[in-house]
Amino acid sequence: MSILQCCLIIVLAPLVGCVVAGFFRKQVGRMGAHSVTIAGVGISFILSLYVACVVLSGSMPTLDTNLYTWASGGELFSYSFHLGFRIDALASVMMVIVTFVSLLVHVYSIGYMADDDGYQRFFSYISLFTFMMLMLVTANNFLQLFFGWEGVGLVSYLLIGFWYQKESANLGSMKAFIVNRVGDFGFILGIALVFSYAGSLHFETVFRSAELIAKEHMTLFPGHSWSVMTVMCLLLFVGAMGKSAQVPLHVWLPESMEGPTPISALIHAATMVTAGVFMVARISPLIELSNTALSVIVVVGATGALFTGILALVMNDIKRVIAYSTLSQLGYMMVAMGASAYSAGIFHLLTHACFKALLFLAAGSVILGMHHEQDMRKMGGLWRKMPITYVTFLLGSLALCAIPPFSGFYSKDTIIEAAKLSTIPGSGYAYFCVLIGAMVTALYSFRAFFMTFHGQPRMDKDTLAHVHESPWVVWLPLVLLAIPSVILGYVLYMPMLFNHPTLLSSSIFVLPEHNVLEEMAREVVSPLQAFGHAFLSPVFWLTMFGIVLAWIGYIVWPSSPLFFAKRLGWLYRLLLNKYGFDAFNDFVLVRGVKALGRVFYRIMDQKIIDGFFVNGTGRTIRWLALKTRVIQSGYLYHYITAMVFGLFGFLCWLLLAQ
Amino acid sequence: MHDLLLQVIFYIFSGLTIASALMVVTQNNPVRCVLFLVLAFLCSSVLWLLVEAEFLALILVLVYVGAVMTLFLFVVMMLNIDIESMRTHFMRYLPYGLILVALLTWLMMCALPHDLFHTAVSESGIALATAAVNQPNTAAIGMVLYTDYVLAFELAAVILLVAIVSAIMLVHRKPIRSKQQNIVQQIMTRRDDRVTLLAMKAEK
Amino acid sequence: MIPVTNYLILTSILFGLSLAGILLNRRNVILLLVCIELMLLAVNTNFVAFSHYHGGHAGEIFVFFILTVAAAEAAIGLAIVLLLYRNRGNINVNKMNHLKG
Repeated sequence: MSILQCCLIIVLAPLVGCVVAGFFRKQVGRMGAHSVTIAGVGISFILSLYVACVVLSGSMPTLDTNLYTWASGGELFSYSFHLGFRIDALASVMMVIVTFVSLLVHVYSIGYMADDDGYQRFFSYISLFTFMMLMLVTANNFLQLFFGWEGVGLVSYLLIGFWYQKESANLGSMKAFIVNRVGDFGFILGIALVFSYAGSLHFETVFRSAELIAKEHMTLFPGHSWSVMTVMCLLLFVGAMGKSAQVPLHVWLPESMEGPTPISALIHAATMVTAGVFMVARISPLIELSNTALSVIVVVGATGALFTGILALVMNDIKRVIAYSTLSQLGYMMVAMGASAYSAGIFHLLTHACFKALLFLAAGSVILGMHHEQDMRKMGGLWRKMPITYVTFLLGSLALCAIPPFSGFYSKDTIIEAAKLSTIPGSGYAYFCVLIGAMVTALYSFRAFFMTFHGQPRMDKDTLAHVHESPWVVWLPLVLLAIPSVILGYVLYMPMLFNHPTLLSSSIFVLPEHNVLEEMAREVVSPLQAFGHAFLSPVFWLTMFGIVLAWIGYIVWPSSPLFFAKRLGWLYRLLLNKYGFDAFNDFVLVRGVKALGRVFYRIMDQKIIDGFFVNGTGRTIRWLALKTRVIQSGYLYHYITAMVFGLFGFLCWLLLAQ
Repeated sequence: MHDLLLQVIFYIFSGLTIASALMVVTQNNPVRCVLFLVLAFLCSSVLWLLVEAEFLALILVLVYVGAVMTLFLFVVMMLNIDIESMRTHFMRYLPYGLILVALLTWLMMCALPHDLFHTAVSESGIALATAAVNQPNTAAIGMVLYTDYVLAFELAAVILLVAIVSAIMLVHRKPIRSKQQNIVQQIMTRRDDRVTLLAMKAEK
Repeated sequence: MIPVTNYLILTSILFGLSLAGILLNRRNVILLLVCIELMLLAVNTNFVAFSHYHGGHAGEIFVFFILTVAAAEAAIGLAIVLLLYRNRGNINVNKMNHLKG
């Protein structure tokens, strides 16, 4: 069957699963719910593997068809809105990732959510999410991308607040949605700008006219003329900031850990947060033409990479540590995008999806074993009790720390090199951040590792007795994710980054002066050689230093962290407060908006509209009636007086008006 | 001489008319009001005589004063009217009333240009009235009334009839202590209207 | 002869006085009717004067009919006054404000 039909099935199968599990909950029961959804996503995965093979082998050109026109204007507005697919290398790679991780999370959830009441609802939601994400990556115009964008935001809200009886879950889900919305606002402005300058929302059309748009200028503030391309890209990047949790719109990701662990793995590690990265790669023809946008992306990404990583050092909840780790890695991806090493960014997205999902699911397995205890200070010494989880967590951590030859090394190292070689303003700062960030990454991930699995058990006797390895539905996805975490980097290093042409070259456009990967390609020969060169680079030694520090801090000298926390109390408090972002948001934005609402309610609504207009008209009319009532006194002589006056007036007019 | 006499009579009687009108308006006692009104009518009638409208002047006295004013007096004396002194109220509103009157009068003055009626009353329209001058007023009116205005005459009669009927109708009262039988009411009585049974304790 | 303007001035004064009488009347309804008669007298005088001035008899015929109608109206007006007295016990104009509201 044709690629187009495959793609239709890929996108729609999860939707079918969602509808069946969602609306026919009682009819299909728990078995039926998970079977239908897993079947749907499984079919999607197999077919997307097939499509990826076909597309990446280069045997077919980019497929860009419109399937359905869902709105079209007439004379006044002659544009038509379509539903269509754009299947190229980038989209097919993303499809594979999304369906793979989604399938594994589905299987994992059978075990994790086994004793939950909302079992079918959960499966329905994650299938819905898969559908939305697939719509996002296969979109061929901005509006469809935005539909998927909003859809994943919605499902993220539904899933974070899955246990809706918990107050904190509701707050977390609302925070996620609202902060996302702020990003979406910028995104929609960007889309509008695209439409007004390119005349179309179709990717192909927009990319073709990119050169023309780059020449135009607009005045945002009187006296300052801005390049349209810069404004457009910056606005679109604001959307990416919201979705991919870049500083300062990163505040929602830690709170999103209120949701069940499978969705943290699916949404907040592998797929939704990477939608922003994907989008930036998609619009590479536009961004490349605006150096300002690239600089901003690189600086924002680098800031996120370093500073959110530092925050992970003081977190005690195992999921929070991994959440901040995700924030940091997203920063890395954005740095790659900003340095014009798009393939490297997508490569890191791929490997990160695997090992971060692995880390989350392993953490979930630990939490399950500890009977939903998430505080690492109460764990320890679990390596004997949960061996499979232990090994997979270790593999994931090694990949995260970019230890050669695990997959994280190949992608992260390339990013650091790209930051070093890039010439756009801000890349020096970015290089510094990602370098220090490597050490910080090693420090926090091995801190988590040692605190959870090694050392003396710090939990109570009862839990210690009951801790055991999780069922096969839980550890099988872990193993299946560990395999690509180990080998994916090695396998895809050359094809993705340095071959001629690279896998993604048909989807990505890079200006020659920005092409750092081209520069790096002159020295790179093979992954094995890269492995050998790793031991000479400062990154590796910084990482080892970080691991050693973690070992000292949590195994050899366990009281040292507390010692440092007391000595550097101010720093510790600053980190605990997450640099004051949440406090600022609460104080300025939340209270400001609430005060504004209060003003509008008390003054505008109650006083002005209700009191003045609505009640005021009534009161005025009543007052008028009160005054006018005096005329009707009932006395004949008053009436006659009135008549005489009228007569007098009439006569005056008649006689004197010549 | 003739003219002077006319002028003198005119001024005296018009002065009397105005004085009695003023008295009408300012008296407390309603009987006095009506009596002053009678005086006003009598003076007016003299003024009408001056304008050679004898018939109307005498009709005014006979019909108006003799019948209508008498009626007024009857009613006034039949009703038990409180004679209250409303001097204060009157004094309070008098200025407004006088201003109003002055305004109206001024308006009427404005309506008439100065040179409109320079000619005396009798010096105009003589050509039309040559034939009529020789007839007495009564005959002249009669000549016109029963030929040109006969319809109005009949209507006036109807109006008078209506007035009589309505006046009687309004004031008529049924006799209160009549012992006439009302057959319908007698037949439609119910037992409950006539008989009531009571339960009473027997007295010891 | 007496100019018409004299008669006009006279009648306008009479009319104004009677109007003042109606407006300033707070006492009884009889005075109201009396003032109406006075007004009619003024108007009649006007008609008669003009009839003489113009020479024709139309004015006098008019006065004839006005007298008729005035008599009829006086009769009915007095009947109404009687009814008012019967139903209310007094004919004080100040107390007749049932049209109020």
